Amino acid sequence: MKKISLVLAMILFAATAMFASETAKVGNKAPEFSLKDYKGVEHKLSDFAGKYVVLEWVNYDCPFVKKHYESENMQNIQREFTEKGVVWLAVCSSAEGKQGNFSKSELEKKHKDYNTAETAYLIDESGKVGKLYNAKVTPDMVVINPKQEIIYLGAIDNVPSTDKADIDKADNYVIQALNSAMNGKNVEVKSSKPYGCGVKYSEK
Amino acid sequence: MKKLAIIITTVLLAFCHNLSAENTDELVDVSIYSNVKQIQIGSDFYVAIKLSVADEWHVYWKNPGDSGLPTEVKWTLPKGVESVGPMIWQVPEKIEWSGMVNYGFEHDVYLIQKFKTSRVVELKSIDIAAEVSWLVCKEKCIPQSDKVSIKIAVDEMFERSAESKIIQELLATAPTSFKSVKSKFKSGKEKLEVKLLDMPNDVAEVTDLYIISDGITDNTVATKIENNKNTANAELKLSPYLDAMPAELELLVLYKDKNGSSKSYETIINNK
Repeated sequence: MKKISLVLAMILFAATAMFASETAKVGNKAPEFSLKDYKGVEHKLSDFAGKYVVLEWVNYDCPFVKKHYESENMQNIQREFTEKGVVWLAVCSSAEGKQGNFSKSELEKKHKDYNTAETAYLIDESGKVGKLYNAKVTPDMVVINPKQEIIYLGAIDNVPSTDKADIDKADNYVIQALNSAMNGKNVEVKSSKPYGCGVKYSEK
Repeated sequence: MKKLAIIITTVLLAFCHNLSAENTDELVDVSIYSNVKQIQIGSDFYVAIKLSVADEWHVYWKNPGDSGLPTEVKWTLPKGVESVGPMIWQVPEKIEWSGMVNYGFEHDVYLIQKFKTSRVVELKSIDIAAEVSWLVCKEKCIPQSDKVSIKIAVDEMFERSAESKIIQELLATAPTSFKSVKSKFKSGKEKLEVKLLDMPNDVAEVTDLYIISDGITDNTVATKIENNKNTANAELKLSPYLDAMPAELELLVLYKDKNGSSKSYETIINNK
């Protein structure tokens, strides 16, 4: 009996490991997670089923992120799509003491200064959700459809640089994916290697 | 008294911390050299941009890997310079940090290009200016740029510069360009298989292979190399972000020659 339960446990473990290795990929179900925002409110991905969801990995001190916030590009996209009913979750996976890990008061100031328009800014200090989504850099973008399947994964646009002047020249993949999917069309570019600073994960 | 000592130490520490945080201008020092001091018009010469990178920091190769940006040079050229050759890069280091793998340089690096001059334009000197931009990273990343320039005299005589020797040495150890008609690749759902079916004659053992085309492979997974007689196979993991596989791939092949020396070559292969 003990042997059977051990085998069962091993099968279960293997199954979850397989499931886990099938993490964030275009066409797959978006891995479930639950995180608190910086105000302490819990948000669960599955609570947003039926809506488009954007995940944005963020670190306000990363020059690639600054490019999109100082130019107001990111806030404009957040505003345009949250007004259309899209749920926009900024996720910060910077570990405690690492670049991008801000206190509540610092975040309040940043959000006010930048006039951001995300639905919630989630704290992922342990890096668990970042790793679940294989987020390596900031910014890294994920677009999820109302069935909670991933329809876009990767870079915000096609011009890797820290130069604000490049934004106008770039094709924004997040806007393209949302516009296509929301109008019942195929998403043309489904993934693209994200460019940016490494996510400041905990070394533990 | 003890209290005073603590205050002084704190102030000093805070000062030192600020000093190290603000001295970002000194992280990379850029200089420019040529292998010649003077040339006859119509001949070729090399120009090298040197980036001296502070300890523990790094700048990036043409394929930066999982994050970062390639180092770039924009030239302002005088009339009389007919063409500029492709950038000759040194072999990069694989830099592993924070769960990522980058290709870059954690030490001094030279970026070298060949310049061709035209016989028809009369010049007293050739004045070349370069704007160099790079991203320098350690725990954090800082985009920076700098301008450098060099003057090369034009006369009857050819005259080497003091840096001619080091530039020749760097050119000799830079990856060679080897056009192979037989080497090819095959890609599946997750794997990329590279078959090196003909290689430069002095290859004894292929040790590693870097894809120059950006965004193709998952750099955190080590490349499996299998050496056979005069051929080698490599297996790499494809990037989860790869949307469409290109028909051609640019690679850098690292190998040991028959004397055990480390060498490398660049090539372009296709999936036919």
